Amino acid sequence: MGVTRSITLGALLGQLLIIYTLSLLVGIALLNVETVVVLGLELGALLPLAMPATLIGCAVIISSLLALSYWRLKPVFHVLSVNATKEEVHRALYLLFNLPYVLLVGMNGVGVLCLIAFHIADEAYARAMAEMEHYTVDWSQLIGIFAGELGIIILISLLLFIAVRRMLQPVILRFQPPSESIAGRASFAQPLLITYAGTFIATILNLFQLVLLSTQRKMSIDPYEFIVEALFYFLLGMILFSYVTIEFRHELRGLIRNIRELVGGGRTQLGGKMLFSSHDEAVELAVALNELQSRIDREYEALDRELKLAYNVQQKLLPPGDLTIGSFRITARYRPYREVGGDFFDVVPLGSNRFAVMIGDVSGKGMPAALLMSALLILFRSEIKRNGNPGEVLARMNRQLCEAMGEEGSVSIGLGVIDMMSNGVQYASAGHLSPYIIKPDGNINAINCSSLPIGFDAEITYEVRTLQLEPGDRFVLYTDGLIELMDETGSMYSFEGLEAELSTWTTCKELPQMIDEWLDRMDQRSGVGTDDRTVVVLELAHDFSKPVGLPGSETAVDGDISHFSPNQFIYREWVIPSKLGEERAVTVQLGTWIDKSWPNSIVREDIESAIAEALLNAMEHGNKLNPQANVTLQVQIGSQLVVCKVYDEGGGYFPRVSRSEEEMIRTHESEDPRGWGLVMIDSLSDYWATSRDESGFYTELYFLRK
Amino acid sequence: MEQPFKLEVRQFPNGIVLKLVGDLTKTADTELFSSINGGTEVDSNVRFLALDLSQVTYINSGGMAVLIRLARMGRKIGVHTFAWGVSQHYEKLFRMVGLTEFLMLYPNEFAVIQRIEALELN
Repeated sequence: MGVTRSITLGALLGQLLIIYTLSLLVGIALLNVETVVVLGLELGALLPLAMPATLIGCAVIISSLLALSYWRLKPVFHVLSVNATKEEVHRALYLLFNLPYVLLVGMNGVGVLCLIAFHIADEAYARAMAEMEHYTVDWSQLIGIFAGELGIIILISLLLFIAVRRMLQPVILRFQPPSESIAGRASFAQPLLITYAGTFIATILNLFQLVLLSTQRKMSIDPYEFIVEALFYFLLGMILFSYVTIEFRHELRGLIRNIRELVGGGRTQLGGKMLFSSHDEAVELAVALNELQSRIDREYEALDRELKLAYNVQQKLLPPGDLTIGSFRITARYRPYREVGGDFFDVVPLGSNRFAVMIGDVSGKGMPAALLMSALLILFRSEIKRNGNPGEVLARMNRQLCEAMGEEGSVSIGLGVIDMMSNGVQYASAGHLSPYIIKPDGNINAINCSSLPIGFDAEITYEVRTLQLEPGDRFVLYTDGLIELMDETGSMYSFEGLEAELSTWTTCKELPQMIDEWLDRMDQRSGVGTDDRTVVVLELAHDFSKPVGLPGSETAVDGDISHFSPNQFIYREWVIPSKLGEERAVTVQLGTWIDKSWPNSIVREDIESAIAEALLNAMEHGNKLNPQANVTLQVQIGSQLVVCKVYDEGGGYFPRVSRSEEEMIRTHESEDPRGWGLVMIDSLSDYWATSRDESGFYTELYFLRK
Repeated sequence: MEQPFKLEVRQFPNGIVLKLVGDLTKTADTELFSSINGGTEVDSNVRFLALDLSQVTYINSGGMAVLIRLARMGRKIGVHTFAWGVSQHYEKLFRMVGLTEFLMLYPNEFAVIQRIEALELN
C-alpha cells in the first residue's frame, strides 16, 4: 500500500540510472575485495586491464539496462498520459510487474557476456605479454574466478530486482485499485524464491571459487577465511530475503487490518480501497476485499440515505427546540445516539392559557424505537386534545399501546399540563425519571411520581401531582441517556452529576446557551454515549395573567378594566361538550364577567346572544352534535374590545350569511329555518370571521365597548 | 344555569294565551306544539294567539325558529299572533331575523287585549 504520486518517465529513468550505478558500484567493490582477499592480488595489478574493462563493462550493462527499461516503460507512460482502455491499462500493469524480472534476466545475461568478453580479452592480453610457447591457460583458476564473478553478478541482479520493484510501486499505484483480471498472474513465492535461490547460488559460487583456487594452489583451505566468506554471503542473502519477506508481510498486514475493520463494521473505516504493487495472491485477496467493501459501501450509502430521510421526518415531527408560550420559555434539546432515536418531546398549546409539555423514552434504540416514537407523538397529540388531566391522557395512551405493543418493549412518558393563569403544573409520569424544579437561588426539588411505564398493564392508573411554579422557577424533564452517560474511567454521570449541574443554574445566562454548553461539556467528557439524550427545560420568566407594570392589577381581573392600556387583555377559556344547552351556562358566566369588566356597558346581551349562536353553530355544524367532541370558547377582554374565539373539532364549514329579502322569506317559510345564528352573529358583533389554526376550526368575534 | 322550559295555556274569548317560562330553545318545539294540538285544540272559534314571553329568560335562534313556526301555523288558519313581555334585546333580535313580520309585539298583556278588542270591533 502507498500513496500515489506523479512521476515522469525521465525522472523514473534517472532514478533507475542511480540504482543501476549504485548496484554496480557495490558489485565493483565486492569484486575488488574478492580479488585482493581471495586471489591475493595487488590492486595495482588490476589497473592495466581489469579496472578499465570493469568500468567499460559497467557502462555497457547500465546502458543495456536503461535501454531495456525505456523500451518497457515507454508504453506504460503513454497509457498514463491518455484516457486508456481497460486492456491498455492491463498491458501497462503487466509491463510494470514484469520489468524487475526482465532486468534480473537482462543483468545476468549482459553481465555474463561482459565476463566472457573480459576473460577472452584478458587471456589474449596475458598471451601477448608471455612468450607464446610457454603460455598455457590455467582453466582451474579461470573457472574459479569466473564463478566468483558470476556470483557477484547474481547478487547485483538481485539488488536491482528488489530496488526496481520498490521503485516502480508509485507508478503501479497510479493504476489502482487492482482489478480481477490482473490479479493472481504471479505467486507471492516468486520473488521470495528468486531472492533465496539467487543468494544461495551466489554464496555457493563464491565458496566454490575459494575451494577451487585453494586446491589449484595446493594449499589447505583456511577455515576462518571459508567461514567469513560463507557468513558474509549468508548475511547478505538473509538481508535481501528478509526485505522481500517484510514487503510481502506488509501487504498481508494491510489486508488483515482492512478485514478486521470490515468485521468491526465501522462506517468510517470503509472508505479506502486496498492498494497493491504486486500481482500475486495477496492482490487476489485485495480484489475480493475491495469488492466486498464496495458492496458494503453501497449498502451503507442506501442505509445512510434512508436514515437521513428518517431523521428529517423525525425532526419535523418534533417541535422547535426554543419556544416561548406566554411567560414560559421552553428549551428542548434532543441528541440521538444514532441518526434516529427513541427519545421524544412535545409541546402542545391547549387553548390560550394552557399547554402541555411531554417527554418520552422508548425502550431500545435505532429504527424500531424511532418508528414507535413517531406513532406515540401522533397518538399523544390526538389524546391531549381530547382533554382530561395528564393522568387520564396517559391512561388512554397506555390502553391503546398495550394492545399495539404486546410484549415488545415499553415507553416511559412524563407529562405536564401548565396553566398560565395560575402557573400551576399538573404532572403525571408513566415510569419516567423524576423531574426537577430549580429555584432561582439554586435549590432543586425532585418531583417523585412513581408508576409503571406505558405498555405493561392496560388497566393501570396514573397519579397526578399538582405543582406550583413561581417566577424564575425552572422545570426540568430529561431522559435516562443523560444520567447513564459513562466517562472514560467508567463512572456514570448519575443523578448526583445532574443535580450538581442543575444547582449551578443560578446565573443570568440565557437558558438555551447554558443547556447547549452543558451538553457540549458532556460530549467532551463522555463522547456520544450509548443512548439518546433529551432534556426539556421550562422556565417561568414572569407572571402571565397579571397586566405587567400596573399597580393593583391583581384585582383588575375581576373588576373594571377601563384603565387597561390598549394592549392589555384578560383571558378566560371554557370547554364544553357538544350538547345543546351546555352553551347557556357559559354565556351567563361570560355576561357576568363582562358586566364586571365593563360596568355600564350595553353590549352584554349582544355578546351573550352572539356567542351562544357561535357555540351552537360549533356544536351542530362543527362537531355534528357528537358529545365526545368539545367546543372551546376563548375570550380576551381589554379596556375597549372583547375578542372571542369559538373552536370546534370538526372539519369546519363555509359561513354564508344572506340578508336579502328573498332569502329571508325563504328562510321563514321553510319548516326548520336555519342560518339565523349567523345572521345574529353578523348583526350583533362588530366584526367576525372564520378560520383554522393548530387548535382547529374557529369562529372569531369582535365586540367594541358601547 | 339552564332554566327548564314550561308552558301554561289559558283561554280568553276567541283566543288562547300561552305563557312561556324558562329557556326558549329548539327543545321547546315538541312541548309547545303538542300542548296546542293536544290539550287545547285550536278550534274554529279561536282567532287570536297571545304569547306571554315575560317569564322567558333566554331565547336563541332555535327558540325563534319555534316562534316563527307557531306564528306561521296561525296565519295559515287565520289566527293573529301577538306577544308581550319581550325585552328590548330580544325585540331587537326578533326584528333582526324578521320574526316581527309574523308576530306583533306589544309591551304588556293590556296592550294586546286592547288591540284584540279593536280588531274584534272591526
